[in-house]
Amino acid sequence: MTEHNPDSPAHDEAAGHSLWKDALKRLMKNRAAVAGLAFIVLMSAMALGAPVLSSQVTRFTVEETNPCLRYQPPGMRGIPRVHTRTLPLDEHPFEAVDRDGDGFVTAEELSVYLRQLEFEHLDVSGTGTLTEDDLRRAPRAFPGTSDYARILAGYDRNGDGVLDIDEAELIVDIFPMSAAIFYVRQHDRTGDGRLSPDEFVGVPRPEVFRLGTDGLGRDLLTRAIWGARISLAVGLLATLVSFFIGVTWGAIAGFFGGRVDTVMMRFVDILYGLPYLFLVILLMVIFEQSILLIFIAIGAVSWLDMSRIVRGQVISLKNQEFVLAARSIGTPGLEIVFRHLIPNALGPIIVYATLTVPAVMLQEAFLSFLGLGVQPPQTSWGSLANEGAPPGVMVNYPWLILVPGSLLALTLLSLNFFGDGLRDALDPRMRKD
Amino acid sequence: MIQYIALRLGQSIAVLFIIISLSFFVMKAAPGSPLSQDRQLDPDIEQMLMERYRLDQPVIVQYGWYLRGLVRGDLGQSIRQHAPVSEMVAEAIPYSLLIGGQALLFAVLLGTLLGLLAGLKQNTGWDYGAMTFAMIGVSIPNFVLGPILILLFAAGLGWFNSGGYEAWPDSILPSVSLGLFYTAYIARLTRGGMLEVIRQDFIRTARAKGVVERLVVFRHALRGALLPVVSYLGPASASVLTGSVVIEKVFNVPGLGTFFVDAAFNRDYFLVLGVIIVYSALLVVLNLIVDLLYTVLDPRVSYDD
Repeated sequence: MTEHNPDSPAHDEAAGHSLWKDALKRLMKNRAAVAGLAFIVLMSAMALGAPVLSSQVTRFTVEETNPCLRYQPPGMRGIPRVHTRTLPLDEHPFEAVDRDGDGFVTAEELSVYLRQLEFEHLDVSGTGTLTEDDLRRAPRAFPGTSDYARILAGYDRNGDGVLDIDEAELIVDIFPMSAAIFYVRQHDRTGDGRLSPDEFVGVPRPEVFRLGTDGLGRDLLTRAIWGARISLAVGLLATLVSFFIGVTWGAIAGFFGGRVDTVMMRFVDILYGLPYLFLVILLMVIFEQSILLIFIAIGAVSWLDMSRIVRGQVISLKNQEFVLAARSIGTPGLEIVFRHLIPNALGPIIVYATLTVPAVMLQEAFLSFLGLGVQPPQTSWGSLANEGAPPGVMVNYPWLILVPGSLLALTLLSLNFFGDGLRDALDPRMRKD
Repeated sequence: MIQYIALRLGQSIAVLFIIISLSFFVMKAAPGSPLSQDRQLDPDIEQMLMERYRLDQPVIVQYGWYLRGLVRGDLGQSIRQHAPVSEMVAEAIPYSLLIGGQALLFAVLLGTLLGLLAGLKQNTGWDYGAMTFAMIGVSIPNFVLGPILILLFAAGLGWFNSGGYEAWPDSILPSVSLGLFYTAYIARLTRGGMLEVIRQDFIRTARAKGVVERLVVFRHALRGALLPVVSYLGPASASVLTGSVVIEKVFNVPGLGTFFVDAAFNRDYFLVLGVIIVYSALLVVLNLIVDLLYTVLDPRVSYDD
């Protein structure tokens, strides 16, 4: 950069640079905006790292179902099918699992062994039975009520006030036969349906459903992490679509003015009056629902405000000297628009684009909530909320709506705070106070 | 004025026509037909139904028949429900209007109140409190807020019935969940408008000539501060209408929105079109009212030239 030559265009750039620097300084002072940005970065990292997180941390895959572990509360444990770890062999050796001592471990023996293990896990007091106190202190929740005496009474068939392992079967059966058979088959090389000592790699290790499971026994945390990917991707890509349409439309209308402007902006006015979301809904119902269509459909209906803002900016800029200078050396109109006008209007454009992200994320969530957006096996926060929304589900298993709902709300809140902060920072005059 | 209204009405009819045509052809271009679902129909019966609903004729002819019916005020028959669309819509629309209307009313009243408070007591606790509330309000999707309210007030405290719509009290929670976003947005608009107006010369003049502060605020400033709110009411009502689709699903209300999604899934052509027409007509009328309201509030705007 040549700072000593005031006539070169680089001079303007140097001045522009310090403008952005100032803005950054102002932005960093705004605590809400910084907190918002931090949360957005966190969510983006989570979305990007979804494959690693699900294989290394949650250990469950997005789609794996556990038919016997449906609607389990947070803290419940289950055996992952794909990313299975095993318990240490010296603590849980072959002989301990092979209860009948015939030299083979069957699916049933594994299932029984893990049931016993879970029973001991819940038996915090170590009395060999589950008492009311055990249930209260258990590392997992029991849905529906916090009246532990009643939960206990519900299982206590012989009425002795405590649960033995048979009575607690429904609570501790974390490795049902179907899953055990699947596990045995994975390791069974001889094909006899049971594991010999050298086929036996260890007892599969129970993992925690940290946020519980859904109606198909899928791990909610894993699904929420993968859902972040789609929700954020839609936010970003649909904003890009609306950004390109809106900026081009508004800049051309503003720059050429006259009849071009009238016709183009009249068109925008008419679109404003359309209940376009119905058309989007119609489109989504009718055509094969693909993620790409969601990006395009949402982006294509969200550019109206952007075009108005850009038009206003361009109109206020186009009579300034630097545009006249560009004209006088014969720069073609479109080049003036894209090389000179738009870069100068970038501040408000960026601010508005930032505020478009939460708006389009909300629309995606809205469509997915109606079952019209993201389709299985893919999932987004909106479609997760949809799964948790039916009245019967919502009241009994509230985590299914609260988890994706609060992730979505917090992300939107962060984006809004950040966008507002950016607006105040980039253009203190636009500040409404 | 009358000329302006006539012009606007003409435009609105053109917009309605575009919406109807677009929806009609999009719907027809879709694979699947209302008869091609669930169980296989007897070929004779299918043939009879096709003839009855004119599905066997070219699309353009069907379009002609449909428009002809519309002009006569006939919205056609629901193919799946075997009932006139106009009857079905008439049955559902009171629920949607009630919930949407209450939501807007709630939003305008509470929103302007909060915005006014924040604007008049700028940079005080009132201001920050109201604006934080507004920020949260615009960030919580209504389909998340709805279930939370149900969990709290219906399932938890038992103040409302969570099963579905039975009587008027059941419309409170849906209206609040639908309206909160607009409350928040209107609060922000009012605050912004208030801050801008309160510094203008005519306010200073009013104060200088000794008008009581209460009158300055309510007679002079509020009028100007409400202009952005009024112009927002048009888009807001459009968005309340779409929002009600979701809210009706969450709260199990038998309104238009529920119809719309089911009908679109079932390819129930005339029902879908009927609902779209009713929604669009509502919207067009609301927009017109908003524009006229604008002249009343802002003497600088005139449609007479």
